[in-house]
Amino acid sequence: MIDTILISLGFIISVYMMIVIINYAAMLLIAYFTLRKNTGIDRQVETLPYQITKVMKPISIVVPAYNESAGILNSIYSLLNLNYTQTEIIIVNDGSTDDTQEKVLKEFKLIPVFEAIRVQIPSKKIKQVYQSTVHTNLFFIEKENGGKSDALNAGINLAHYPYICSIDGDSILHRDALFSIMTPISASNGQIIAAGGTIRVANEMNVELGDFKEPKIYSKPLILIQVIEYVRSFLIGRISLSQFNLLLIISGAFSIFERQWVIDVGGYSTDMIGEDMELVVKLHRLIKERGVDKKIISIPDPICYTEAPNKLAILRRQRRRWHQGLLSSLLRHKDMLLNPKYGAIGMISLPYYWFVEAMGPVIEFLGVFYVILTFFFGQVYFEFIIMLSAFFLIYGGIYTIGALLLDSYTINGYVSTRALFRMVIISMTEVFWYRPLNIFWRLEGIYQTLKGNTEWGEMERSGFSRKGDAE
Amino acid sequence: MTLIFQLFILIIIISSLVIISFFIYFGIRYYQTRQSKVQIKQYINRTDDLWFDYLVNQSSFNNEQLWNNSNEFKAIEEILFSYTNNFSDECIHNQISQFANSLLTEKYRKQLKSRDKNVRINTLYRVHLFNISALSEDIQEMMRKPKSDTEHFQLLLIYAKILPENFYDEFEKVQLNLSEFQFKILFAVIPKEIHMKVLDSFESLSVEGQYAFIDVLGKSLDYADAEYLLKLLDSHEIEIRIRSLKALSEGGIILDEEKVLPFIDSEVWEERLMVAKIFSKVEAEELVYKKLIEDSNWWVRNEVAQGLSLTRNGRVILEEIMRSSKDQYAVDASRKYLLKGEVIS
Repeated sequence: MIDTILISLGFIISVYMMIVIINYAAMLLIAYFTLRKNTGIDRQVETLPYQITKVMKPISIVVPAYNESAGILNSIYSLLNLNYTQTEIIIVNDGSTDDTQEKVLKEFKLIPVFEAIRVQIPSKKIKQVYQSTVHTNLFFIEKENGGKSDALNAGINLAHYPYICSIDGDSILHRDALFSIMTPISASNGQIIAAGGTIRVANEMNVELGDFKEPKIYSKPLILIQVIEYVRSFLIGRISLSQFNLLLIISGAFSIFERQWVIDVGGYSTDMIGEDMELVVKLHRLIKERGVDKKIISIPDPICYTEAPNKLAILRRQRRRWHQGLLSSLLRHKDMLLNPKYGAIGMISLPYYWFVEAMGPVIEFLGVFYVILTFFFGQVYFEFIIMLSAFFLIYGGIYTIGALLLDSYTINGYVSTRALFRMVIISMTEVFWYRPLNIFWRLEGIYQTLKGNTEWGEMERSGFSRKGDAE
Repeated sequence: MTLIFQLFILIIIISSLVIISFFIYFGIRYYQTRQSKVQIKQYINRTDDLWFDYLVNQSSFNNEQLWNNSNEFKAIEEILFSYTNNFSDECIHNQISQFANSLLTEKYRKQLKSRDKNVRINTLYRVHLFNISALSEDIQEMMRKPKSDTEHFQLLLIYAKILPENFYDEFEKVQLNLSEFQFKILFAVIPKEIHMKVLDSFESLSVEGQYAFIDVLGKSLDYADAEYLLKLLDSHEIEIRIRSLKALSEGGIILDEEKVLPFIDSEVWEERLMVAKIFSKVEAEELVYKKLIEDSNWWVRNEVAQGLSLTRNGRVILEEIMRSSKDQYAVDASRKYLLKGEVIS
């Protein structure tokens, strides 16, 4: 009896793992061919005619801020220094309890202005709008606390331009990021209605007045593994899904949307976790319902630097919430799952997110449970597990190297052998420490979702947390 | 089980070899990249004064500036990009072009024949940027058989710069396949004589081309263009009329107010909005503003109030509207912009 259970369980887990591995290997190949195609194009020179001719559409950059005192000034300076033809920057103070507002008002000489805002998406009460006397394209909204989504909605209401760029308060954009992300959008003549940029971990990087130096090698394993995770997620997962318009998540840390489409879907959802994914799913739904040919893409070049959690407790909360966000959105749109009306989104994308991303921790937990069981039952299973572990170990290494190879195409540089060695070792060992932790945190997310807990509470920032989703 | 075990061992051995190969590959590439960066930096440090003298002070070329290897060549390109980007002085651009025409031509000619499409594209970017007319024959040769849409479009951009007399013929052949964005880029860079030719044959442009042309006109409007835009206001197509009004509002030249005024009563709110934008820049009678500020559309009211708030006379009109208008929306819009910029707390 036990033998039968163990064999069946082993079979299920093996088949699942194989499907996941084949899926990721396919994604790696798709991402490789996609990125390889554009490798070597001189972006600096390519975008020059666009810069000179000023044909790019203007963008309203909306930055929700809650207790961002530590990083907000650097973030604003980086936005002011962006290389783009026309932008306005809207900082939305979502009822901060620290000195975020005082700092910004003083640094950029903002004064109150009477701004009648056309409310196209509901949001919590706006107390006052300020405008900088030094940089007239810098606005500051003071509003009641309503969470990140609510803050973004308030910013979208004030926005004067046709494209909205959402950036987190403690993120730093690469100087040319907007040009790189807007080039395919402008060239598509309205076909692309949303795009996400690539997020990179900026811990241990030197940031001064919005400018940043190239990342050094990360000393803490917890940061390093997140660096690897981000590269794998953004350059493999998202790029490959994006090729077939199957992307359901673009990071809230740096994304661009056509304003009217965001308004048409009712803006960011304020009643659930994971507002960035929810918005993208809502957009896909509307695209299909309207029967129009529109795309949502992820772009490898535009880079947004962000700080990753450096403490386990913060990371745990972040991952738990990401998983809650993923599940909440999938549950809310469960009618789209395997529904031919929604095309590839319903038939491929949503099953992928359900099967691989959402259910992943459950199956992986069963895998860990299975390993423990086999210690007590027979040599055969033990050998099998040893082989399977060795396989995953090697696989982790190859997958990371693949991701780093893609990374070298996008940043046009290579990591040192020493750094590469550290990264490969860390990713080969993640199966023993990081992966189980992640499984546990995500299971917590599933538990919280089943319990019906979908509250963010106050927008919470402890150090640098909740940045761009690597999952 | 033994077979599976052997299979696993085989997979692990192959995978380990893959990892080791990647290590070697990365090691070599890292070393090459680092060396390349060092050489580029060394060259720039060694010659930056000479380049400044040559490009800015128009001194004669020093042989020390010549490159000895591919990294130094890249360094020269970086210097030229930097000067092209950061200086608008025509003399500097001419000097760069002269240098590129005499010394970079041979290398770029070879690169244009490369099998690697990215090498060809990057070279085309450079030919355009450095205005290398010495390669015009090669460019014409490529235009006969462009290998991709990107290449074709880049060739058109180069034609506009170094082969303007042949531009229009080539443009006509492909214009139906161009997107609005591509049209805009082309129209923004074409010289005046081609601009006039496009204007004369506006009707034969594709719809995207017509929209793009009108949009670009607004960016640098002159009297001839403004007159043409006024004619386009008679078009039956709403989009053409809206874009023409928008271009007129951006350019700020209105040669005949009477042609614009009827749009105050247009059924299309976008047309009324564009009229509001025009009269934010060009002064009109008070009645016009009063009518616009009482418009049923929020954007129109907002636009006209904002425009009025920027001038002394305009603020007087806004105050008058605030005092006397019975339209609460008009009063609100006036108040908003009268208070804007003033400390109210």
